[in-house]
Amino acid sequence: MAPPPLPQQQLVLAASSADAGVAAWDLRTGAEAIRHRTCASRPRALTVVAGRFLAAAQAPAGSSAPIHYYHWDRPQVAVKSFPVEPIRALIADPEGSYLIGGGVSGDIFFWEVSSGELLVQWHAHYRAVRCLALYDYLLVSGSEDGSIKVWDLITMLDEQSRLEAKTLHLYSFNQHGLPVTDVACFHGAIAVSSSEDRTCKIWSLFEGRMLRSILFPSIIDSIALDPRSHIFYAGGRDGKIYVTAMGVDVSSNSCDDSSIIGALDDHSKGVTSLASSTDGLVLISGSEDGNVRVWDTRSQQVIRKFKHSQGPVTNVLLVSPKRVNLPPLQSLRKVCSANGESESRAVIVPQPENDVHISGNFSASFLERYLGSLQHGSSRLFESGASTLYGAPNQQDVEWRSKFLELQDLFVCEVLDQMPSSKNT
Amino acid sequence: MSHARSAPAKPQLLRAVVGERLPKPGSDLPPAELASILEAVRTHGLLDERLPGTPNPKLAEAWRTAVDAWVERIGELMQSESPYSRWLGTCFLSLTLQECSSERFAESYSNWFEKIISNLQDPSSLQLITIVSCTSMSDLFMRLAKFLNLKKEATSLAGRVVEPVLPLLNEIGPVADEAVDLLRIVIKFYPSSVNRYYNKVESAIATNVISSEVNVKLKEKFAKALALLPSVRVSVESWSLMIQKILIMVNNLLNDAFVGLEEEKKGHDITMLLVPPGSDPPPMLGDQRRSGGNVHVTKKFRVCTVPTISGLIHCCCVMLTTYYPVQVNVPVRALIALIRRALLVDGSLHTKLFPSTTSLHQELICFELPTLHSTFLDLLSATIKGMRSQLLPHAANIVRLITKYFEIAKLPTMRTKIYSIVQQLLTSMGVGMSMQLLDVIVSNSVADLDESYGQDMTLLSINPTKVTNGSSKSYSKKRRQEPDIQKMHASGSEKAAISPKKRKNSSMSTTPETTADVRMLTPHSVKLAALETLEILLNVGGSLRTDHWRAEVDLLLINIARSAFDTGRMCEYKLSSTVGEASIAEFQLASLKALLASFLSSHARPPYLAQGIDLFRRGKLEIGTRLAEFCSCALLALDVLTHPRALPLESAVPSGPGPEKAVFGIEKYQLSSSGNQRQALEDEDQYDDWMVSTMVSEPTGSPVKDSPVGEEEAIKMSQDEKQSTSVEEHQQTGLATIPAVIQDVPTSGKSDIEMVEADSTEIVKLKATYSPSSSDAVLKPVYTNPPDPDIHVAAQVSEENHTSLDQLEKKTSAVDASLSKPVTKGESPVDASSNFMEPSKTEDSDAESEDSMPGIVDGDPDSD
Repeated sequence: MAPPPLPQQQLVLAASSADAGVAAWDLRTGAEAIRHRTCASRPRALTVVAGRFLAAAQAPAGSSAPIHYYHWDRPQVAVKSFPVEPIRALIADPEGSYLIGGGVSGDIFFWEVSSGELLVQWHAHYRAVRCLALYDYLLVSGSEDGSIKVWDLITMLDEQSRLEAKTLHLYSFNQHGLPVTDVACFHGAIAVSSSEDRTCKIWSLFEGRMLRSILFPSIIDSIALDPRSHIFYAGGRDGKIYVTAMGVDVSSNSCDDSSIIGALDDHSKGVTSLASSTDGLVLISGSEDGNVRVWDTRSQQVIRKFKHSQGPVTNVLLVSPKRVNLPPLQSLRKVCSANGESESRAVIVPQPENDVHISGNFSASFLERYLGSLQHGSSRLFESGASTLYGAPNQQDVEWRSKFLELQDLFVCEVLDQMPSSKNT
Repeated sequence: MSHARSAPAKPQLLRAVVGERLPKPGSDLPPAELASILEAVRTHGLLDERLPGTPNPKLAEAWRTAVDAWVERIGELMQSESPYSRWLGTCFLSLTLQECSSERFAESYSNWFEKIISNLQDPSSLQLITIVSCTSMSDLFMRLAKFLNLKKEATSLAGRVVEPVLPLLNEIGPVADEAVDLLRIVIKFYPSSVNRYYNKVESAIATNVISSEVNVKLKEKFAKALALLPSVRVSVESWSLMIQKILIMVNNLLNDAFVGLEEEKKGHDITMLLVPPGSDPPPMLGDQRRSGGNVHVTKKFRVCTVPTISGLIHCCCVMLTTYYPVQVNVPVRALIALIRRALLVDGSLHTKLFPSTTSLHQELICFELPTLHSTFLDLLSATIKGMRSQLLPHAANIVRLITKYFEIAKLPTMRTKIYSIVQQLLTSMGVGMSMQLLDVIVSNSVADLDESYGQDMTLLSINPTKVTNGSSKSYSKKRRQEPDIQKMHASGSEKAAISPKKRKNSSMSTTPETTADVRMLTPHSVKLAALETLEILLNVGGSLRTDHWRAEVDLLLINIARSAFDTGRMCEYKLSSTVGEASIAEFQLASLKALLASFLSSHARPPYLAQGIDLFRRGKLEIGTRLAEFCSCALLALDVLTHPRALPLESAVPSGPGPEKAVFGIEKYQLSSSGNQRQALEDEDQYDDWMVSTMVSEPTGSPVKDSPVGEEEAIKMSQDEKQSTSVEEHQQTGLATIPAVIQDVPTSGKSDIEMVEADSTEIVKLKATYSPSSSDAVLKPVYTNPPDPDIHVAAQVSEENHTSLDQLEKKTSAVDASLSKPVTKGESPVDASSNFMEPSKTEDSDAESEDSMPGIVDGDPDSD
């Protein structure tokens, strides 16, 4: 069963670690829309910047490992940036203001998209950063050394706060024994991480502790959360996608398999990357066999299958591109600006919803106010003029007043004229 | 036939109006009559020339001629010698060009435009005529803007308006008022027509913004027009240049005003931010001559400086928050530095005092400080709104500013505003921000809200320096020291102050005179803002470091809600007379909203749920009020908490292994609105039993009393240990009384996630769609794999406290080995059954002992 038609175009994106470019397929029609070249990305290194454009950190080839930007409608690389070290994991914040990259040395880089400035860079892990996730402005980073750390970006971006803080990180979780492969956050400050130690662990970012650990029959390489948050999908190296319950089921007899409530099985090789749609009806999976599959999560059937390349698919994304007029993209800086305090360039992106509304009917509202203040008698119009409304001095009132006096004279004369007649009768 | 009997057709009515009521040139018309004609034409739609139903050429023709006659008469009026007639004619014309048919408008708009513009260009026109001409012109352009095909013509006409309007801006209030509206419309709809006059227009508007002769309301209009102006030249530079000019000017004005009240170089620093060294400063804004240089020095701030700053800042606010067609750069550092500069001046003299600074100067500026602060708080709010996520690099700076400003802000309006800014920040930046602001919000809102705290609260405000540390880490330190101080003072009195009974008594009934200090006078508006802020804090970060503040805040909220409810009617008279801004009804509503947030965000069973539900039930009876509406919503939200419609868990996974395990009935999964559903799984009956025995008012056995005690003990035992230890201690003390166990164990022993619910019937249905063979393949490895206990070492995660972590692991590994059953269960059988809704309690505990929930082993009570 196909998902209900959506008003907006949805693209399935896939990138490979072999140089096969970023392929984009229209989810509805299944046609390949465009293939951005060149791109060879390792897992978690492809991200969409607020739907406006694509960014992909390249796997090191030779001496350089650039970050590529792609526009939606142009196949070639728009901007190339050369960070100081290869970037393993790359994400953007939901508004597309920042790009956050995790390097192979364990450093985290925080760039401002509008200016390309490297706002802050810090040493986060002993070994490479494998995956990143954001919850509000808490950054969760998972590393090859098995540790997961949570960073408060407000603190990290402020020099004074960094100095005051006892430890830079908010929490450090060391329960994973082997490299962390993926991490995802969900509302309620829940983070789910997967690791090569064949477990997925669920963390509370509020309390800073592990809530659960779930053992899987295979190494889990990727995680996607169902938008309704009670289940998540775990892509295993055995080619299966495990449907896993987040909550605890007490009635079951055994410990772990109670959480795994099903599996999607079609890939012949390991599942490397997962993405779920915002409505939870569609799940995208990328596999080492070079295929991308689109699943209907209700029927558990593969509804589309895209062939990406011979090489393993490392990243899949499901995006609704926003084709807006972009200002020229800035390439990302290598180092923080010299004076230590980097000058960020804040911008206001055009937001049509902020447009000022001017209500019409100026005359009507003016006359209503004006005539409303004059309801007492006809002569007031001449006497007061506009000043009745505002109480401001009005030099030209004099003219009106003189007219009023004329009229008064007339009126008085009329009365006087009538008086003798009334006397006479 | 029917026509004859039907009401007179519109053409007839219009003819009657033209014939009998519309004045001839030179004749008089009383205002009431004028209003009545306008009203009649508008109500009956006499000018729209649209016939419903079948086309009726005869009637259409009649109507057309009638409108022609109307238009003709108006033309005569406008050409009359008598100013009064011309005024009347313009009034009628404005009505016509709003009401007439599109065809007629398209036909004659240029004709009408000429008539109105001649009025505007005529310098001898009376003010009233000018005013009405301006409004008519505005209406004309508003309507013209809807004709997209006439855009070009309209733009050329608009260009002709600009010049005649500019001198009108300097006229007296009413004329300038309408003229600036007209100018705004022209700028908004026909920006290209203004381009030629850009500098002239800017100067004319800016002169009025900084003029001391223009009143505040009109200044705001001018400021809005000035903010719109950069859109005329659609470029990044024009916008930046404008805001740069404005900020420089404001900064210079502040330099004069704050002489001696702050460090000298602050102003200079901001200038350096605004005009980078090496670049030329932009030209000055507007004509400074009218900015009141000759005003007497005692009046200068009041009449000139402060209103000018307000006007300029208002312009900034509009610029920051409204649409601009291209992306623009914001000098955000300068903005924040300027805000900081203005807000941190509290009127006290800076130590390096100029000899020339007189106390008069200080007094004068102090009078105006509230207005200034209010203006800059608006700017801060607009900055937050406009910058959105891009404020992140400056967020810590703003947090420090807010923390400091909370100490300075004494006046109710300032406090209300700063609270609303805090709300904005919390909403936009989420958890991280609530972490940063948690201690500031809690200490300030508790101080504002709780009048009965007396000594207890003064303690909080005595140590403002601790609050100002600002960094998130200072919180735990501060908190730990605080009970320490309390303990040193007098632990007995402190307990009494915290005990619910005492609090309620003092807040609700007697209110002894001794505690009725200045705090009693905290206005309702401030309390309202504090409540709303607490509500948002609870929504965003309600589960952050719960052990530090939740007990206090939860108790405070239930007490406030109760007192607002119980004494609401009694106090209404008194309060509304003293406060006059926020009514008791609003306060009630806010208190209940905050209470609901406290219930829903709580990670444990909310301690005062029963009392709260009672309040909501009673509130629901106040039919026809917003309170009642909210209460019914609240009850619905709480319903999930009290009567878990969470489907029984066993149906999520069928009892035996098999293909039907593959549950995929997504439509059947319950979409729960909050992350608190797990509370619903606790045993309701037990809870209620407990609630009956221990009311809020009773100090003994109340869990709230335990928490300060727990904290205190934690301090006693290990002064410099991590906060995680205090959780454990808390639990230990909690074990002393059974009610506390019920309350505390779920707090720590529960995972933060929702349970999966699925309907077993759905499973059966969906089984058909799922291939059994593949699911077998899926499931087999799951079952063949024995659970690996090593991976399930559940340990309390503490930031650095590795020693305690190790300890914990040692202790808990033993438990984990026995399939990691919840540690606390052994101590208290009540707990096991209270974890989940289960029909049979014994079965449940069996099942649970078999089950592994490694993550929920929080703290071993015996670990110390």
